[in-house]
Amino acid sequence: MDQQRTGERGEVFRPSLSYGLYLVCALIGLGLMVVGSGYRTPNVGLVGPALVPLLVGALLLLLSLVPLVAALLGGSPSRTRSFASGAEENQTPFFKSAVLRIAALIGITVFFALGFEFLGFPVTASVSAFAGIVVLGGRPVVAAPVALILPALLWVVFVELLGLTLPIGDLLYALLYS
Amino acid sequence: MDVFASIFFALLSQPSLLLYVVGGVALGVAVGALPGLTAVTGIALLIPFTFGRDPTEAITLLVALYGGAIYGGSISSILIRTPGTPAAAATALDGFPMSQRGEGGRAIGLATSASCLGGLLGAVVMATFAPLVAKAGLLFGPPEFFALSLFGLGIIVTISGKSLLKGVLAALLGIAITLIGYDPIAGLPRFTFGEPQLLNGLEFIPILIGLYGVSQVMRGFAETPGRSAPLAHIARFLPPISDLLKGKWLILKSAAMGVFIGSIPGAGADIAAFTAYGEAKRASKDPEQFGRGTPEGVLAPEAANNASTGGAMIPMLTLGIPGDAATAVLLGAFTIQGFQPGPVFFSQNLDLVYSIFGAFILSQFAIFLVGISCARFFVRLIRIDRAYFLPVILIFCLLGAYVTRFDVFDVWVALGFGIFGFLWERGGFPLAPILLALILGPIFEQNLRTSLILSQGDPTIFLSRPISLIFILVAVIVFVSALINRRKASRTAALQHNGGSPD
Repeated sequence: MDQQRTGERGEVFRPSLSYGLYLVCALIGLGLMVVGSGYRTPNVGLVGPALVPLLVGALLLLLSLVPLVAALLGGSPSRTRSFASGAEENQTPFFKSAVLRIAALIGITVFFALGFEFLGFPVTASVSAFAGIVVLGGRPVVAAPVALILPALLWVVFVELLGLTLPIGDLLYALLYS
Repeated sequence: MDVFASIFFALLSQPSLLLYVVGGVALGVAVGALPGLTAVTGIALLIPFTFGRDPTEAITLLVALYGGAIYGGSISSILIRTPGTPAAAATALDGFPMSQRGEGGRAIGLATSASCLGGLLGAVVMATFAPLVAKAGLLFGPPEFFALSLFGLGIIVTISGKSLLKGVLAALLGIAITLIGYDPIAGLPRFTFGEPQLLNGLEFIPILIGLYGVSQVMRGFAETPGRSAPLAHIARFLPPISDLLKGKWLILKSAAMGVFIGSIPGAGADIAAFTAYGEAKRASKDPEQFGRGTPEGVLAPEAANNASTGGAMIPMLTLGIPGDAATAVLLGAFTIQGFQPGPVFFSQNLDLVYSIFGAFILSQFAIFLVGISCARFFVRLIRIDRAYFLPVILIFCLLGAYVTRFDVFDVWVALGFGIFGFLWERGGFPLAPILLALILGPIFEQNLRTSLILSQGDPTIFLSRPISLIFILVAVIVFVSALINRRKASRTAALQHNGGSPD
């Protein structure tokens, strides 16, 4: 792993998730300031649409830079650690399988979003639920009925009881009504 | 007494609310009992099911779920030492040792009774004081509302998580999200980048579902699957009356603390529970019994956390400022139903307000009835394999996001905020300030700018009005004292780390 020496006593600054998030906050702050300054209106001065974007952007940028600069300049590593990354950061390493499961979850959600209107709610929800259960180690024999009953139940609640409209999907429509 | 008579008649005119109360509480207890699902997640997931319903029924269902979930968290705290909700974390300290001694049923019974009694006190205080606060709120102008939103943000930042900086950044980020879309005063579109879907801003529900639903599912997916430990057989859940009589003053004191803490904008059930637990231990004749399974250690936090729900409803209903994260979501639900809680809402919708009060009082009794009669079911529920319920929750999340505007764009928003929320929490950053800022951000901006326009750009307007000055001063004092305390704690930790001793 890339490690960068910062402390005088040989302590190291590890690029951690919280530093990455500080960087994201700093970039959002910068973006708010750059884009926000375009909303300045001459007749109302500062009290216009640019006021809060500039204020929030400046604070986000300045406050996120404090731990980043402190860590990069070295200073007291222990102080930097307590101030910036915090004892609360979850340092438990991910198992490879956990990363794969999260990737699968994101994949399932992307499938749901992409297929929702074309495949319809019943099919996407069934496939997503089945895949999710199997990914988490559930038995397919149990996953199958859950994946069939859940969308049916939700369909009854949302469409029949609440009167909302959910897409049935071209495929299911063709099967049911042709 | 007029208020309580009005509440009685409001309930009498709509007896169907009882069904929604019992249903909401039962759902809430189930959500609370399942580790990983909090009251906030529960309300967020249920909101889509209330679309198109009568506002009174919809709000009743959500309010009942809120109380039920705060109580339900105690079941898993006691039986498996995994708090179902953060509000029940303090209960695990003595509830779990009781369970290990074979007194799990007694502990659940005590938690149920304390929750019911604490919640009842909170509900009565809410019904008594809310009309008075609403009346005072009518005197508030933009500077006061600005100061109040700053106060709420200041409190949530100081109490959520160990790092003040991370809390501040979370609140700022929450405000930043609310800047997307039409500017509230000039009507100028901001940060929309030509996307028509962003003109009205990002919808609250998909963000909420992402931060509190999808991210929690993601956390569950990240954990290594394992079999749940077997639970001991529990014979009875009714607590001995002697336990309750012995702890009656403790319940009353803890509930009073809970309702007070809950009513402070930003401070919620978890803070109330830990404060009451700490006070119970401090005042006890036998403090060393705490942590070893003393009934007082269950009564105090459970009375306080449910009492805090009534307290948290006061600023939400009367001023439009949420008392905690869960009431921030409830406030969002009001907005979806076409209401904007605040002093004007309160005076113009008295029928709805009294129905909510009535439903809230009834839900405290429902907590006892549902808690005791269905305890065996909830105990079984917490043993359900995560592999089966997490994907189901995921489908609820995605469908809930979609039905907000019937637009797949909101499913993407939920996924984006889900990934962000998961990483954010893993990095040790708190989520609650983002959520509160999503509600308080527009109030903050609109009242800041209106005040400055009124004063022709003079910022001393906030200090020249007594109520505004008090809120700002208290927020500054709380923030500075938290900063000093954390500095001290950090220095002590650094000295201990280096082998020295703090002076």
